[in-house]
Amino acid sequence: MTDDNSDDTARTDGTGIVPPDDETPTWRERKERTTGLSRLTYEYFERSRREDQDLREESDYVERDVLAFPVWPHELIRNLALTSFFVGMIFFLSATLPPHLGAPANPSQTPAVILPDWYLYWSFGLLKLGPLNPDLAIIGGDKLLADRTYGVLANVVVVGFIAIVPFLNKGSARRPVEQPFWAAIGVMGVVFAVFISALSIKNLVPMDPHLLFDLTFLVPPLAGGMAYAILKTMREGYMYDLNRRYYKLRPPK
Amino acid sequence: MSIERKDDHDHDAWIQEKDLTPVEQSFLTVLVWLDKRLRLVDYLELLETLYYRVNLQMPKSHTEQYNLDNKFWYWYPLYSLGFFSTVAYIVAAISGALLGFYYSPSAAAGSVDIEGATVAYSTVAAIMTDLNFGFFLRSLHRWAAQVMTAAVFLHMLRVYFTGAYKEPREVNWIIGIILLSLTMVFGYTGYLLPWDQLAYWAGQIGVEMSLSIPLIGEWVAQLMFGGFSLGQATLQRMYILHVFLLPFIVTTVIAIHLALVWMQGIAEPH
Amino acid sequence: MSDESRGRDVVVPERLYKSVTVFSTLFAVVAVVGGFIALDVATNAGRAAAADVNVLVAVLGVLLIAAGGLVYAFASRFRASGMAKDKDSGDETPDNG
Repeated sequence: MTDDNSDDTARTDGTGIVPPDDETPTWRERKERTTGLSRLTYEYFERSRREDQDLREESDYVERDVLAFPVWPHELIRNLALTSFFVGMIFFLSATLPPHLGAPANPSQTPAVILPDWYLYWSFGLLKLGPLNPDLAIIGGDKLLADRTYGVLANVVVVGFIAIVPFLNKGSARRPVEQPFWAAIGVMGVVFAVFISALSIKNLVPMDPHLLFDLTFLVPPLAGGMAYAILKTMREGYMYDLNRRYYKLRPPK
Repeated sequence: MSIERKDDHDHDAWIQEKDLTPVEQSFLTVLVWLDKRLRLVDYLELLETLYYRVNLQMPKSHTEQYNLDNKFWYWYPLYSLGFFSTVAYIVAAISGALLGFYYSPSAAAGSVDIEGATVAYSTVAAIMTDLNFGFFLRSLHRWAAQVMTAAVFLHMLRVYFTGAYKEPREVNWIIGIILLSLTMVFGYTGYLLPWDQLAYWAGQIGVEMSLSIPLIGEWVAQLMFGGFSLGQATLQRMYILHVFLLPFIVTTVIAIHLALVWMQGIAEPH
Repeated sequence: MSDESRGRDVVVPERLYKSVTVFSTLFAVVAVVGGFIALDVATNAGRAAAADVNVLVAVLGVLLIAAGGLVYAFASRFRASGMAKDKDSGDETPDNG
C-alpha cells in the first residue's frame, strides 16, 4: 500500500490499512463493500489497534517494556458485563441463604467450636505453629519465644514476604510459563494457605491432626515442585518459537 | 429511529421472481407482513450499529494482537475481579448504611426474651424478624462482604500469577496488601457486632492475639478492645471502627488504588 | 457433507434474512416456552395423577413445542449472501478477515 505523502514521521491519523477519516464510508457503504461480518470486524480491530499504536508513538510517553491498555473503555465495558452478573448472584444468594444468628453472647459458657470468619483461618492457623517453635537447650529447653508470639511473628513474616515480592521478582516476564520459579512459589503459597486453613479448624477436619500437620508442610513444596516441572517443560516446547511478535514488543531481559 | 423509511427493498417482487416452494413462499410472505407492521428489525439494527461503534473503541485482545496460539492464557474473566470487589464493596456500603438505622451497639440487657440477650443482639434479631425485608438487608450485607473478601483474595492471586505487580506497579501491589488487610479487619469488626456466641468468642481470640504481640500487646488490646475482657467498651469500639473509621479509610485507599490503575493502565498479558 | 443431505439452502437479501431470523426465532421461543407452560398447567407441573391430566391442554403443549422447533428448523435454510453454509465449509473467500 503506497501513499502520496512519503514522510517518515509517525502518522497519527490512524491511516494505513483502513481509509483516512475524511473518506470513512458510512456503515451502510462499508457493509455493501465488504465480504461479510468478519471482514468488517477485522477492519475495526485493525483501525483501533493502529490508532492506539500511533498515539503511543506520537506521545511523549516514555517507551517502556510495560504495555498496558486503558481502563476506560476497554476494561470497564467488559468488566461491567461480567460483574453485573455476579452482583445478581449476590442478590440471589442473599435472598435464598440468610445468615444464621446464634445464641446470645455468654461469657460463662465456652462453645465447643470457636471460629473466626473463613478468611482469617490462614492467620489463625499460623498461630497454631507452636510445635515448630525451636526450643533452645542452652536455656534449659525453654522456648525463646512464647508460642503465641511465634504465631504472630509467622503472620508478619508471611505478609511481609508477599509485600516485597515485586522487589524480588523483576524483569518483563508476565506469564507463569515465562517464570516457572515464581509461579511455583505462588502455587506453593496457595496450597499452603489451604492446608494451614484446614489445620486451623483441625477438630472439624475428618483427619488425624498430626497427619494434617505433617501434610501442611509436605504437600505445598511437592505441589510447587510439580508446578515448576510442568511449567519448565511447557516452556521448553513452546515459549520461544510461538511468541515472536510478543517479544519484539517486549524483549526479555 | 428516523421517520423516513430505511428499507426500500421490494420484498414482494423478490419473492415472486425467486424460485421458491409454496411453503417457503408463504413463510416468507407471513414474515414480511409481520416485519412491515412490527418493524422489530429496526430496533435490532440500532443495536447492530451500537455494536460496531463499540468495536471502534475495542482493541484486539492480547492473544490476538501478539498472535499467541495458546488461547488458554485468555484469562479475561479473572481480570474483572478487582472491579467486582469494588462493586461488592459499594453494595455492602449501601446495605450497611441502611442496617445502621436499626442497629445499636449496646451491651445492656435487650428486649428479646432470651437469657443474656443484649440490646445489640436484640436489634439484630429485630432486623431479622420484624423489619420488612430486614432479613434480606442483613443477608445482602453479609454476602456482599463475604464475596468482596473472596474476590479480593482471588484478585491478588490473579495479579500474582500474571505478573501484574512488576514495575511500575510495585506501589499498587503494596497498597493492595494494605487493602486486603483492611478488608479482613472490616470483616472481623463486623463479625463481632451481632454479639452472639460466635462473635463473643471470636472477640476473645482477637484479644488473645493482640496480647501475644511482643512489647505493645497490652497497649493494642486496650486500644482495640477496650480492655482484656469483652464488654460494652469492646462492642462500641468495634462499632466505631466498622461504621466510622474503616469506611473512610478503606474508601480513600480504594480510590488511590483505582487512580493508580487508571493512570498506569491494565497490565498485560491477557 | 453434501448439499442434498444438508437440505435446501435459499439465499435471500440481507434485510429479509434479518426479518426471517428475528421473527422465526421470536415465534420459536414463544411457542416452546408456551408449550412447556401448557404442559405444566395440564399436568400440574408433573405432579398430577394420570387420570387428572388435561389431555387437550397437554396435546396443545406438545404441538406448540413441535411447532416452535419446526419453524426454527425451517428458518435455518434461509441465509444471506456471503454467509457460510456452516462453520466447516470453505465458503468464505480467503481475504475475508
